[in-house]
Amino acid sequence: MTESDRRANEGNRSGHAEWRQVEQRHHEPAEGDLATDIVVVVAAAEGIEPSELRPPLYEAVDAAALEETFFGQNARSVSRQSAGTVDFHYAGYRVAVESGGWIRVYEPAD
Amino acid sequence: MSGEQWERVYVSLYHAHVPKLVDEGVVTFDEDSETIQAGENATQMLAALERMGASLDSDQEHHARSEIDDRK
Repeated sequence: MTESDRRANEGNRSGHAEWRQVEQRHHEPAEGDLATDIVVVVAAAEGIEPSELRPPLYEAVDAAALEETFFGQNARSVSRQSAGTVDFHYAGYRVAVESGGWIRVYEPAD
Repeated sequence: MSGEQWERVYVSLYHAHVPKLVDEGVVTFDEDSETIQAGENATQMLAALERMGASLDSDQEHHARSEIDDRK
């Protein structure tokens, strides 16, 4: 196995090739923080209350830093027009946060 | 505070704010009892916040700045 293969496998730690979207939610910066929105939509995918979801989202991603990157004061400024997606694994799901605000939750399809 | 508000505050604390404070050594968090305690760096953090608060008062701004410069 080459070094780049090993790194690719590490990035896909859960070992699934296929995912299907099960939930989505649009983050509105004025309505609350990104961490809460991510927890709410993943809890919905899991069918539980947000306050029941474990482990802490922080173990998967620093949502405050991500919020600053895509939705902070300088995300849409003279110097930057942030456009992209951050993809991470959390609570058995794959979560994608898009700079446009959509949070998408995927479960393994295989 | 309504039930829904409580839920949002709890989620924000548990999933974001408390873990970050734990990483900075400001608090420790016991998962079983879901309680926090002052950590190693709590005193230092509170002292820094106090200095920042003082610097917002224009009378003390010069004093606060020189104190920070002395520590560099």
